[in-house]
Amino acid sequence: MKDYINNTNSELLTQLLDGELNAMHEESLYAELGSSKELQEELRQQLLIRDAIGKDTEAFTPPAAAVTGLFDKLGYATPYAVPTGNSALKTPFWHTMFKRASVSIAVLALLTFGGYNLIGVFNNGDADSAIADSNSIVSESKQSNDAYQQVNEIKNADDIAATKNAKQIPTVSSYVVEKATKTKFVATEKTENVISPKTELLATNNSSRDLLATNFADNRALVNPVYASNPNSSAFNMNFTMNPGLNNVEFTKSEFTKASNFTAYIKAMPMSSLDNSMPFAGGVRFETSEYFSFAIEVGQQSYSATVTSDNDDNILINKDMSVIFGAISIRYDLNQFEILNVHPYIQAGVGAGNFGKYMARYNIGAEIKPFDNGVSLMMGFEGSNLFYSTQNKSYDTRNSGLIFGISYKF
Amino acid sequence: MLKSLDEYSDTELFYMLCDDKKTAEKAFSEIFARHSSKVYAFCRRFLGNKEEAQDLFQETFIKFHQSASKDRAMTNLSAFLVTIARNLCVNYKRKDKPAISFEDYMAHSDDMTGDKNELLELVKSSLELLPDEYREIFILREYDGMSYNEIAKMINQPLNTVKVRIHRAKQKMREILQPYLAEMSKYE
Repeated sequence: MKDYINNTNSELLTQLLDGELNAMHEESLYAELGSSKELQEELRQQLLIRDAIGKDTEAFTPPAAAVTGLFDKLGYATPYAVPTGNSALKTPFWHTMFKRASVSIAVLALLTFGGYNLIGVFNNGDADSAIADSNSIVSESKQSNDAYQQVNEIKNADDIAATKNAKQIPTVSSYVVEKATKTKFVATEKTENVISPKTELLATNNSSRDLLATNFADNRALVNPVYASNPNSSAFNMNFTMNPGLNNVEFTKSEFTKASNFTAYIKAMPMSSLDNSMPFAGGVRFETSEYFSFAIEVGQQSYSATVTSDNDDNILINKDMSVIFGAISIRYDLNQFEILNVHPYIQAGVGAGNFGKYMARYNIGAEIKPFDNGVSLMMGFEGSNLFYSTQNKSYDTRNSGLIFGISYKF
Repeated sequence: MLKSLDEYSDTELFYMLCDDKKTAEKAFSEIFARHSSKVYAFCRRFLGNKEEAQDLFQETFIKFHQSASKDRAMTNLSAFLVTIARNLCVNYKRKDKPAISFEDYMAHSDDMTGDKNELLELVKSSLELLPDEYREIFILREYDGMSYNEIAKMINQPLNTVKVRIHRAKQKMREILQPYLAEMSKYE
């Protein structure tokens, strides 16, 4: 059969639906659409087929086994949580055990050395609620890890859209195309209806109601840069339903979801003989590059300082001073030494408090990212020097120790 | 300040594959996130068989990764990936046409019984009935959302040929589904 194009109405309709119709033919086609029942039926059928393809979730979702296998072959880490239950998908035993051991040690250390007191600072020592919070974090993380599996298991696109973990992409709020006076194709976010005043072709048709919904128009641009770069598409092309399930799946992959540059953290030190309460600090960190970030933190810590006696200014005594401080610091992530999910870093900064002139703070530690939800556990060694003067003489005092903390990357 | 990955164009990401391993890994993950669904959709629906589709899907990305070079001009990464997938699939079909595996048959049977969307199942089945030249072009258009021009370049055929084949593929599909579609219209 020769490949000649005859520009029949049927051919033009196909081109219209594909966003490839010349403006020259549009008017005549719309006029024909308004009057030809046959053409309307063809349009309806083509839209039904297209709609069905849009629901072909399985075709648009590479199986986790294939993804894992591919990344393994390339020597890369799989970019999102892999569901369990299939031997081909399991991470190596040692990897899993290392992760679990690291997390357990960190959580135990946090709770044993500092957790109770740390929470006490904020919550009058309500340890139960602290543990509940901790469980909640673990539980949320598990939900996040399971998201991909859940989505994979759900075949119905409507169910996917309703899935709690699925991220809905912003939709076009209103999209109206009027190509001819007789025939209008209107699609809005609210009604998702197609209105064709003259023919009432699809407007009252329940099964076709969603066919031209604009919700997926921008989704298509998102998943299809070719489409995004081809803005001269017609109304019908804009209404192409890519695949709602696909988008949901894509955005449950935590690595694919672009995190912000902000991280909030809180850390604490085991109490020493100097302390009347748990030394702690909390702050916000802003990443300026893959390696560097700046942090602003506030906290409270005790220092042994030489001060004048309350009774006699001529007498100098050593006193444990509780200092509330604020500091800015720069952090360098030693990404080159990153192993598994352990991210070492060094941090240094300067600050000032309600006692003393200024202080220097330095920290070497590691963050462990056991989950894919942005939560990390921190462990390390932190030291600080407080510079102060008493009776016009400068002194400095230091405090150092292990720290434990938790951070969340937004 | 470094841009976040989603701010990089496909072309920039492609060239980042030639950088150090960490950068390459991130760039690859981003490319994968953007285009894997289209590549898989092509393999899955063109080949029909799930295992074969997975193998060629992986091979596509491996070949793509190997092809990364600063010297290569890259204007349309999406089309480049689908072209690799298409070449692999077409060659695979030419070489060997194994019978459908029992597992795949069972999986397909399960789909048929479990899926509520009857029309989708019929579309999948009718897709397999289309001649290769029509099926390929139909998938490129309907699943991968490629423009007629892009398809023409990919399969190295004139634009008119593409227009005609797409139309015929769709007509063929409608013909196969006609009894069902007609039945649907009765109840609407």
